[in-house]
Amino acid sequence: MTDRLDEVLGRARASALAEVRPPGADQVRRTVRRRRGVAAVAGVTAAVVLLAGGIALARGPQEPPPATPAPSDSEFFPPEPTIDPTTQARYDRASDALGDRRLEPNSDSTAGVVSGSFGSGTARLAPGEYRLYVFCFGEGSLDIRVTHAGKKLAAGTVPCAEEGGSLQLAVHQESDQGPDLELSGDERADGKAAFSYKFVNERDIKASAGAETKANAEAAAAALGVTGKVTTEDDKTVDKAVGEAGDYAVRMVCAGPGRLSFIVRSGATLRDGTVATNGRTESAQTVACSDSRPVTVDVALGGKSGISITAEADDAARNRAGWSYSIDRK
Amino acid sequence: MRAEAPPGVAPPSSFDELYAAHYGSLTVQLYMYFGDRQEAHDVVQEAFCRAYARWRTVSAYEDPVGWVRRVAWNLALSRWRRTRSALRFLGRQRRDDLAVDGPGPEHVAVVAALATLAEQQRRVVVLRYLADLTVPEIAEREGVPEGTVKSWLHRARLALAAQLTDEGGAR
Repeated sequence: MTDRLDEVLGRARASALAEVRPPGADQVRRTVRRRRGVAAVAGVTAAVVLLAGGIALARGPQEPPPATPAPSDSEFFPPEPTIDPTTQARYDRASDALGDRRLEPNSDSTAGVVSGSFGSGTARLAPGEYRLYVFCFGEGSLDIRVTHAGKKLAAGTVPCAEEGGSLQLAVHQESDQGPDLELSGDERADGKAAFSYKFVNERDIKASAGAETKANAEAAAAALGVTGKVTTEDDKTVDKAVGEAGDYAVRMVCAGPGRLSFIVRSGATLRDGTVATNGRTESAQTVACSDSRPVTVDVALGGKSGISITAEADDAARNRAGWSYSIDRK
Repeated sequence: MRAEAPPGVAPPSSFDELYAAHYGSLTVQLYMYFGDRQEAHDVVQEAFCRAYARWRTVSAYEDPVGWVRRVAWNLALSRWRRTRSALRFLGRQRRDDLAVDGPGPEHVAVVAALATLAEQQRRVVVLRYLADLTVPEIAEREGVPEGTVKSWLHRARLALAAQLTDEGGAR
C-alpha cells in the first residue's frame, strides 16, 4: 500500500505544481506598497489631529519598534471582523449577481464587502477581449480602475443600490500577466456595501433577449400588423425567399430607445431556397426607434431570389429596442 | 520527497528567492487541501505579502517558510477569507481557467479522495506528504500528541488507499 499510495500522491503533487503560475514577487511588493501608502495617509491624518489638539510632537520620528519575538498564533489569525446582517445580505446578493459560476462563462470573478481604501490585486486573464461586469449592493458608490503595467485599461464608477447597481467596462488584455484591478468605495459604501465582479471573455458572451426588447418587438409587430418580432440582444438578419420576379415593398419599424441601422439586401437563392448573404445592398438607413413610422424600401427582384434585412443596434437600443418587418409583393 | 526545497540547497537569502522556491509548493498544499486552486493562490500570495511587509523580522527566523506556511494555512482556515474579501483582488478563477491547463484525472481523483477525509486527517496528510513535515512538527503545529498524528495518518492512508490504489480494491 505504502509505495503505491506514495506514488499516486507524488504524481498528484507534480501535476498540481505544474498548474501553478505564481503572480510574482513584484506583485507582492506592489500590494505591500499600496497598503503602506494607505497606512501612511492615515498616519499623516492622525498627526494633524494631534497637532490641532495642541499636543506638540517634541521628538522626531519614533524609533522602530523592537524586534518582534517569535510569532504567536494570535499574529497569524487576523481578527475576525464582524459583519452585520444587512451587509451579509448585500454580500449574498452581490455573490448571486454573478450567476451560477459553475455554469455561466466567466474568466475571473469574486465578491466581497466594499473597502474605503483602494485594494488591489491581479486577475489572471489570458490575452483577449473581456467585458468586466461590476455590481454593487447597498449605498454610495464604488470606483473601479483596471490597469496593466501602470497603463489604464478601463475605469468607471458603479452606483450602489439596494436592488443592485451595475456597470460594464470593456477591457483589452494584451499580456498574459494581470491585469491589476483596484476598487474603492466612498464613505457611504465603505464597510457596508457589497460588490462583485466578473471578467467575461467576449467570445463567451451569449446575450439573451431581455424583457424590454421582447415587449418592444411586440409593439413593433403590432404597429406593422404582422407577427414577426425581432429582438436586439445581438444584431440579427432575417430573410425571405420569393419565387416570382416583381416589385416588392420591404417595411421595417422599430420601437423603444436608441437607433437601429437597417440594411436591406437582395440576393439570389440557393437551390434549396436559402437566400444568399452576399447580395446587393438596396438600402441602408438609420432610424430612431422613438419614431414609430415604418421605413419602406422598394426592391425589384428577379425570379428565384430573396431579400435579407439586417438590423444593427446602437448602445442605447441594444437589448432594449425591438423591431419587426414585412416583405410583400406590390 | 522534499516538498519545499531540494536537499542540499542553501536556504533562500532574499525574499525573491524564498518566493520563487516555495510559492508553488505552498500553493499545491492548500490546493490539495481545499480543492480550489484560486483559493490556494489567494492565501499563499497574501501570506507572502505579510511576510514581505515584515521581512526584516521574518527573514531572521530560523524557518521563514514555516512562518509563511503557517500564515497561509491560518488565513485559509479562518473566516477572514470571507469577511475581508474586499481586499481579495486576486480573483477566483472558476470554470474558465484560461491561463493554465486544467488538472489531470489522477490529480482530480486525489483531490476528490482527500475531500472525503475528516478535516484533521486531510490536513495531516497534506502536511506530511505534500509539505513534507515530520510527525513531531505536525504534532507541534496541531497541538496534539505525536501518537494522535500517527493515528490520523494511519486512518487517512487506509482510506486513501481504498480509493486510489488497486490494493484498496476501488480502482
